[in-house]
Amino acid sequence: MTAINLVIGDLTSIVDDSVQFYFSIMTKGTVLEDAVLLFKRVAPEFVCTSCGHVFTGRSIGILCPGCGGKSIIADKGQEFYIESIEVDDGAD
Amino acid sequence: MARIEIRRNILEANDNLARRNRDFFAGNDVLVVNIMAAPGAGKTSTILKTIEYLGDRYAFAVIEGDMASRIDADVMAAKGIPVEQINTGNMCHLDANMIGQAAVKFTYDRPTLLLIENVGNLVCPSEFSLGEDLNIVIASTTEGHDKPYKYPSIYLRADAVLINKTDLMAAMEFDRKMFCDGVAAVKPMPPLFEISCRNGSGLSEWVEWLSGQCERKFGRDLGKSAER
Ligand SMILES: Nc1nc2c(ncn2[C@@H]2O[C@H](COP(=O)(O)OP(=O)(O)OP(=O)(O)O)[C@@H](O)[C@H]2O)c(=O)[nH]1
Ligand SMILES: [Mg+2]
Ligand SMILES: [Zn+2]
Repeated sequence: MTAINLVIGDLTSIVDDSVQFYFSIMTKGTVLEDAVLLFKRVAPEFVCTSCGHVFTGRSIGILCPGCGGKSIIADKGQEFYIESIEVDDGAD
Repeated sequence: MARIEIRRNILEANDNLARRNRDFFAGNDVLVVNIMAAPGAGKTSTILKTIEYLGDRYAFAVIEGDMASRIDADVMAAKGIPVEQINTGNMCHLDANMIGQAAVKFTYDRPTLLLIENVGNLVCPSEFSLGEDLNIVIASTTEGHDKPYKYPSIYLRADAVLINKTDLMAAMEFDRKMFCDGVAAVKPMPPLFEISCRNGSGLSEWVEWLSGQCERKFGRDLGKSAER
């Protein structure tokens, strides 16, 4: 069995079900037909503009849990990549 | 041992083409502006006004992205503006491949501003880099002041934000502070221009800023080619 580990940030417009849907169509009749997609979602991270504290949250405009300062979006949440694949090498 | 080669970044193919576009544009002294907004926010109107104000300083070319129709391209063509229409069919955004194919159809014999009207959509266009120099997001007072909170990703890309239809601000009860707080909750506040394509207010500030961006790029690129 082959498994593909995907990492998708919650700030992207990528929907797991859609990826799965198209993956199934595209792989039909290929060696990847039975491959399993495993989705790892990444919540956005915010950084406080006053104290630099980094925290996760669901939406923008959240005040810093540390100091109450205003936050902006940090790096995480925009991912869309293949992290790894797991393939059966017949070793066991 | 089964071994499968994989590409790590799933949009890598687009990113590579975007890089190729960027090289092409740099070599031809083209400043590329990717204009993103909701349907009807005033992308076409802003492009027309921008060319009206800056048309004697730079050459212009326009790429129109719409799912269907040539309506916007015909408006440009009627004014003698070089234009390519891309119809994306069911796709809700432009990608680097489409831009690469359209961009080579123009001739660039002097520094050119290429304005790209992306498909009206606040979601997907932000994920596909085109090889642009600047990403501009146009909000309009008619769509409400809460959009940065609902569509943060597109604002994350914005090198400048325009609020259009300011002539309707009062009628729309558009809360400028709430809007600006929303943009500032996404990233450090980018340059903001409040414009009206209807009564012309704020347009000169916007085009002066854009002109400044051109001077920077053309100055730098011209310097580069002199080094060779
Ligand atoms: N009152 C007012 N109306 C405007 C302004 N700018 C554009 N409009 C009107 O808004 C409508 C849409 O403008 P367009 O420039 O076509 O908008 P667009 O974003 O290109 O639209 P699509 O390409 O269809 O997504 C038109 O009826 C314009 O006349 C403005 O500043 N004030
Ligand atoms: Mg338009
Ligand atoms: Zn803080």
